[in-house]
Amino acid sequence: MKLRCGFFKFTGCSGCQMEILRLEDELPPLLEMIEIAYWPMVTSKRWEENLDIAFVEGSVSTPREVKEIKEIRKRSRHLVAFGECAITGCIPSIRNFMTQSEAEETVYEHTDWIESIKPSEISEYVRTDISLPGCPPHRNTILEVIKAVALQRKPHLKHHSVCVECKLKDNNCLLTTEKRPCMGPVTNAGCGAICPSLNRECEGCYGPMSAANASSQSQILAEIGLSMDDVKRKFRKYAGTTDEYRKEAA
Amino acid sequence: MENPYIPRKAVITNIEDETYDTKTFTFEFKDCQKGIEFKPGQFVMLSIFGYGEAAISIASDMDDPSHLELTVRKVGDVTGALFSLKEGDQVGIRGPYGNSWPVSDAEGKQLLLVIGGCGCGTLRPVILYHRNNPKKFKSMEVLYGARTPGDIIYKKYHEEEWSKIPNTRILLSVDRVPENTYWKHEVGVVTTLFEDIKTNPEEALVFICGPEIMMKYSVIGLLKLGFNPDRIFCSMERRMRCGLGLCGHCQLGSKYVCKDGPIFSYTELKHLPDHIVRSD
Amino acid sequence: MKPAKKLMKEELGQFVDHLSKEYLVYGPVARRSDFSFQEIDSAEDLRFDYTTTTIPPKKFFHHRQTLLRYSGEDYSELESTLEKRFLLLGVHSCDLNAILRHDRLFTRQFHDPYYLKLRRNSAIVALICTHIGNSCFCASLGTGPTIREGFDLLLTDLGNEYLIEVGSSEGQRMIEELNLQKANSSDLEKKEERVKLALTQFVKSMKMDGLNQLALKYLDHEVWSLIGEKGGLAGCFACLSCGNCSLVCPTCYCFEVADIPELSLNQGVRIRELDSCQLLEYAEVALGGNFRRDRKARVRQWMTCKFGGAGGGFDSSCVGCGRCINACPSHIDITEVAKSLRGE
Repeated sequence: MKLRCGFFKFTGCSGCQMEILRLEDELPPLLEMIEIAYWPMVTSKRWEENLDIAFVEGSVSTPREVKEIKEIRKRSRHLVAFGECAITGCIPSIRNFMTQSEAEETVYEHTDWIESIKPSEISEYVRTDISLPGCPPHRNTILEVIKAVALQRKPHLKHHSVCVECKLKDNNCLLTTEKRPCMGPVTNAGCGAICPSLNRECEGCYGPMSAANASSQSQILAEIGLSMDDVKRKFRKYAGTTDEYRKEAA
Repeated sequence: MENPYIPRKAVITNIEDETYDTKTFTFEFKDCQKGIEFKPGQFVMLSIFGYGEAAISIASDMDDPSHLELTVRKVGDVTGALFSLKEGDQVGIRGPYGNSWPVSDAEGKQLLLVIGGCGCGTLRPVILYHRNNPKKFKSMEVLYGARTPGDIIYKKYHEEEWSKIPNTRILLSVDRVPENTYWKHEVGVVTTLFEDIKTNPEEALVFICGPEIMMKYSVIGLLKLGFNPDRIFCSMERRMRCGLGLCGHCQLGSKYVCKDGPIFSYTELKHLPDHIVRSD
Repeated sequence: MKPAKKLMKEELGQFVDHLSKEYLVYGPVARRSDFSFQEIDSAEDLRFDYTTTTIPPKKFFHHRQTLLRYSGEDYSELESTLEKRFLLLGVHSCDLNAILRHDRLFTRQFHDPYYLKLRRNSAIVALICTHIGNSCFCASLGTGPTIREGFDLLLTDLGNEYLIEVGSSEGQRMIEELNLQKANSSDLEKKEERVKLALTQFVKSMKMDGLNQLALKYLDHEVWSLIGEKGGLAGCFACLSCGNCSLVCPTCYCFEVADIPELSLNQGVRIRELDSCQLLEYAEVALGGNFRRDRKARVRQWMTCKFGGAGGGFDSSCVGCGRCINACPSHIDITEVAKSLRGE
């Protein structure tokens, strides 16, 4: 029996869904394993049957999305918060640090047309079963989630720092040896330390790792020369409204 | 060179329901070595591919090494996968590992077993040893506490068979009795049975197994009654990746639970960090 | 002991080419802002003046391995894909001592076939360290800068040439076909002078005696909350639990095991990968329990291990390479922790 999957997009960029298409070689065997019951990006099929797995990308930022996420929850066995927007609010949540009217007026000429609420993670409205972190989540972690559901076990996802992956790759450390503002020590792993491997600081796009010590990280960033405003921006970028980062992002 | 990470193939030959979340599985090995020799208190690494490995205490009769019995509570991925298997299915098993209950030190002495929850599995070989050799220990007293009557494992053995072994006394207690449930034994946490202990603290050995919080209060109660901390033994539980003293996960201070344990005397245990079994 | 020889510096290229015939040669090379052991194509890339690499030679023996492959009900250890032997060129005393410790650790009660296979497939040309880094303190632990055992060949930079001492029959074979000049007693004296000079460069030190007992005794010592929660020990910030210290530590050995099924689900591999006691998940037990949930308990565990007080004993204890100090974004310094525990 194939797993019946649905892919939904709320307020986000579709990048998470794109990552599935990047699986390439694994796509044929994956399609042996899952049935695409709903996925507007690839098929015009309407959503009819209940789902084994609902992958929900994006944060909830309109009253319509609030209704939809509740409907998806009702009709899905496993609800996957698919990517950082769905887990932490991610980049859309940057506007949670200004008033709603300020945000609307910055973007739109006629704000009276806009029906928008502060973006939030989907667990604000419904219970989620699996959080698949990343902006976007690495394709291997997407496969792991599907395999885990099929095997009826917890997915083996990493909850520790990016530093671990970076060290296992024998990378030149950007933070300690070059005093560059790398967010690796507080950021959830899973990407395989892509950015530091390419001589780019970790931006923190997988959200806070388990028990992240944001307070120390912010002191370290200040020590290497970031202004307090820049430190704030670092924490706001992907997960500013999380419990772990709220204080440093405010 | 023998590879200690490669498990032996074993087949499930029997599955017995113990409680709503606990079953006893019987395994036979498919290799020519057939059975498994072990000492009471030792554990094996149970392997189900795709899920991983888990350390499980051996619950079988050590006088009958032809097969292996494991009493397993469904708590994680590996145990969850095991529960979905049926008779005839194959798993991987390696071991036995770890030290053992100091059964020979208890010969000629009184033995007190204090059990909490599913902890019974690791002490079952001790009870079976006593059943097979009823003269080895001067006496055996078993205090077993569980949450409800439905959580008691090996219930019919406790009530019908083991309590009839000469010089054996079995006291059962549950934290609470749900409505419409028949229960003729004590109600209260396991330490409420301590008032009734007949074992003489002077000469006894005590084997304790259960959740750390239960072992903590048991140790406190036993020390008050005058039991010797050198002769109180606790079985510790940690999630292990190898069972060989190499992966590091089960370390308590200078000890590996897998290699130096899982059985520690209270005297030894109280000096180790990162657990809560202490009387202070 | 075979007589020592001398290799002129301009002959280093030939020497490396000669070794490359038999071995895959890895040695220290410079990167943007650190050194790393990398495959050596030409002796010009070699940086024998390196202080330390970010990742120790442990990466060649114990980073990630496939333990077995399973398919349905069958499973087996993977057939070895090793062909050519590999050689680590320019290994310092700290790292060599760490390798010798792991040799003991992985052959205690159980022999670890994966580690041993790689180890037996390797050879070591050590190098007396003469460029002492600011974080180095091997001299105070007796793990350097001199080297007495564990090498096939031992090199010392004497200025215009390298002194080559032979430590094994394999080492002897490495230089047999080369027409090397014999070293004389003044060369050996020069080596001693080099070591003496190196000894004067150390900034840090650590007194190891009894630290294992102190760490196990003072479980509530103030130093644990300083490094684990508050920060402030010699200017450090509180631990991030990023795991860098243990990943770069040449004696840290803890590993995680995981099954990785293929999409067919009934086939896959079981792998192991370096883990760290600093990570929250490391001490998780069934039903969400965790016996080292506090950061304080986690840093105490690591320090205790490095002081020889954990399960690995002295087979996983500190060799004074200073990597954890360099790699810690919070500037936690093990030598300061030791001082504080001693009440100094």
